[in-house]
Amino acid sequence: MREMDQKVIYLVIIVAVCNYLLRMVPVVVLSKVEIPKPLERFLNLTPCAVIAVMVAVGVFTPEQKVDFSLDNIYLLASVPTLAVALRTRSLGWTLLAGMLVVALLRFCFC
Amino acid sequence: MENSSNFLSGAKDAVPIVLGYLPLGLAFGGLARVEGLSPLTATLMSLFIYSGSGQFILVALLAAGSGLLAIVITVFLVNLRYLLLSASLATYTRNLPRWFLALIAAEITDESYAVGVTRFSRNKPTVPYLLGLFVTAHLSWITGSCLGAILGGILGNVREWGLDFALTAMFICLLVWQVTDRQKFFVALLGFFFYLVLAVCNQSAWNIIVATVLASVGGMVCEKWIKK
Repeated sequence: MREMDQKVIYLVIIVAVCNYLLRMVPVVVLSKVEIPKPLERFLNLTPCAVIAVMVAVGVFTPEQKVDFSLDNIYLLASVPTLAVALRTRSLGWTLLAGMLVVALLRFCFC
Repeated sequence: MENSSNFLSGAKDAVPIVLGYLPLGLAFGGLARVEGLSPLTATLMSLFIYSGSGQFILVALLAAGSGLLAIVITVFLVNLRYLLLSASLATYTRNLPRWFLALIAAEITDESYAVGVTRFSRNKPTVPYLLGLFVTAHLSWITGSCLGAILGGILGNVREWGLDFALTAMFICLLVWQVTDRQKFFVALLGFFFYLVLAVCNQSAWNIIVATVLASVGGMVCEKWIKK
């Protein structure tokens, strides 16, 4: 028990420091130096790329494994959610639609 | 034109994140408790580590009896993408003081980053706005995990409300906002494609970061053909 506690404390400290450095160093350094043009063009595209990948993570791999089947509720729900997002361009309506569709699908099929 | 530089507008922009973080935090706290961690430990993790994927994996590995070094390396790989998010944020934050950036950097997550950069493409970031956005999001994560750990498994299944889809729905809307021209549309498609190919082949912690880099580079390479 004692040993486990100590291990956990070390873990939290080490992981917290690693996480902080990963987050802090690039933004602090790059905010003050001239960013090379190619790197800037690359960094201009990363927001779009990251967000697309996060959508893919949430929609296609909800349980780690890739799931293309129609049993994948998230995959089904993403279609009307995307439609609402395109139509309204509103975060609030998109969230509401997405959650509602998932809740409904679960209610009907699970 | 709405005022979008103060603390309150930042906090308001954090609401969709809060909707996702509270239930996710509850789930994390519940899991941590089930695996034998105290509510205090779970809360400290959410305060200092502040990474959904990282914390879930950490607890799972701990439960599986993995060694210290193995856990540290795995979580490091999973969180390597913060390097990229942080670097990309730097292209918007040249007007902010360095000490503030060093402080606020601890608050970078996939979600807060995504909401932030979407806003910054229209309005320059300010100190109060960033505090409002980032601190509100973090507080909801801490609150969720603390409550989850205290309540343990008592709380029913939050999935029934569809809350488990909240963050993905948010990313879908943010993606729609991001895709402003053909090049970005192409980058988004590449992101989907590369991530799926990688995920079908393996379940590596590298998938997210590799797919992001490949999609961004792909967009750069094709810039000439697409824009003309």
